[in-house]
Amino acid sequence: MLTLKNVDVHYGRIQAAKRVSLHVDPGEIVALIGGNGAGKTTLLCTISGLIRPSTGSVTFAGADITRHSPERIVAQGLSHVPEGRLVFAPLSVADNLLLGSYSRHKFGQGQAIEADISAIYDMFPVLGERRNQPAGTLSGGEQQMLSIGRALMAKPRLLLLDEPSMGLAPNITRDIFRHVVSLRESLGLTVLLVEQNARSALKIADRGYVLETGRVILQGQAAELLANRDVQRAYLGRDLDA
Amino acid sequence: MNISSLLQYLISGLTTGSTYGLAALGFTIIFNSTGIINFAQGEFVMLGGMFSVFFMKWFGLPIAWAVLLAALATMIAGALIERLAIRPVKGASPINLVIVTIGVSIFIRGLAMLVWGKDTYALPAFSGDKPIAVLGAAMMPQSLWVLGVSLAMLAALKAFFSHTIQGKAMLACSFDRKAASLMGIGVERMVLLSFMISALIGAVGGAILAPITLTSFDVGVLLGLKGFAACILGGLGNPFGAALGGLVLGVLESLGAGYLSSAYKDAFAFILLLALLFVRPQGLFGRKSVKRV
Ligand SMILES: Nc1ncnc2c1ncn2[C@@H]1O[C@H](COP(=O)(O)OP(=O)(O)OP(=O)(O)O)[C@@H](O)[C@H]1O
Ligand SMILES: [Mg+2]
Repeated sequence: MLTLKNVDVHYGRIQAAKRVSLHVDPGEIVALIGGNGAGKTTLLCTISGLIRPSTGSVTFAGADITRHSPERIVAQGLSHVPEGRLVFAPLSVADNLLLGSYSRHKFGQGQAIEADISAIYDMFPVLGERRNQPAGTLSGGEQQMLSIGRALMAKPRLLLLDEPSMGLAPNITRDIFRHVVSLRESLGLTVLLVEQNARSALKIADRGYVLETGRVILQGQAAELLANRDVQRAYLGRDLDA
Repeated sequence: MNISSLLQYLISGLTTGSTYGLAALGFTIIFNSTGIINFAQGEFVMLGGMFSVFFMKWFGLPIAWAVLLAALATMIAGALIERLAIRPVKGASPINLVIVTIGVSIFIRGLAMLVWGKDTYALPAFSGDKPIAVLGAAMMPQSLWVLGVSLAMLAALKAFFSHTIQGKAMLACSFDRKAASLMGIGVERMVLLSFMISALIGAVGGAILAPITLTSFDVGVLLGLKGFAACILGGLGNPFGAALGGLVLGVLESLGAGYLSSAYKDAFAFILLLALLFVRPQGLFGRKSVKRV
């Protein structure tokens, strides 16, 4: 469904991704793990079109999207839940969700979009209770749910999630991850999940990639990575456990 | 102090203040979508008045059509400025972009002088010059037009931002550009739209004021500066604060000119602005800080 081939990304003279190749098959949850500054966010932004790679290609659902604009990519069914949530803080929860549907806004879509917003409220009841509140007043976990809900409003087939657990208490993290799993079951969604919280991510993932200073250094079945000595030593320390 | 002269000053203050307010709104809308102060905003106000005058003259149009067409023409000018001067230097630092807008304003003013000369022109009042007596003060029917049209513009803008998806998308761009593009919002298109809306608002302000204050190729300088003062007064980034800032500025200026000295009329705005910035740097109605990413 998604394939990266030999992707290089540069910020000026700094190279943040080196010859990265990876793929995500339909229906999979794939975890991309790695420490601070490994290049995880860079890769997600490259996939969603916010950053242009210097070489290499990104293919989504059979089409080369390497040089497409973010607007075009989201309209093709690929949504990116950015690092740090980036909800529109002064706008209401309802408006944030509505804006999530911007890419499919056409005349006569109003009712379908309303229905989808209610579906998000069913999925995350707390968002429904706070629909008229400014998004900035929500707690971190609620903002994460909103950011995910907003991305779902574009009706994606593939969801990119950048560190959804960042700054959240373990029980909230667990709740978010449970939602990710159920999204695949209920919507048939494919997920590429970036996490520093490697153990939780690998527990719900089918496969995983380990990124270090811009390179993929390991890949395999999630269970194998969980059992891998090097991975355990580097990424599965007790302090990261949730 | 007698009531009727006070009322007279209030009326004239609110009238010019409305135009400052509309110019300030224009500043705010572009600031919100781009993070830059568009110093060509005053030229939009000038173009609105001058186009109206000349569309009447050249094509013999009735005034309503002339004003409408002038607003459209200025909107196109706004779009051209964005496409030809702002977009090509995309990614430049805000200070460079601001300098670009100053260049644009000088260019437009020069062009206007070449085409229309240095004369002062008057637009006829929309519905006659017969003053209406209000408690001993005389109110020109044009003042009613100015107040009414300004209020209508404000209401339309409010509706645009709170009830349409394009309006909300424009706000979203100002809050978080990256997230907005991830929603599929074309940030560049929103910037273009913001220039067009600002031009439209400025032009309408210029056209409705022209019968009262006359117009010439260089009225944009002062009106632009006053609009800028109003938008700082109201709190940069807050459209309705900006409009209110314009009214406050207009009224204070008119009171100052009436009761103190009319020689310093134009200085009041800036003295007031400086004083306010010392006391309340975020403006009268502003948020504590304007954070931009
Ligand atoms: N806008 C930028 N300009 C220059 N360098 C950048 C920029 N963004 C990221 N980098 C650099 O690129 C490298 C990869 O950063 P990236 O944000 O992709 O890492 P990450 O894996 O997401 O880290 P984290 O887990 O802390 O979010 C880092 O060395 C970072 O300093
Ligand atoms: Mg990151």
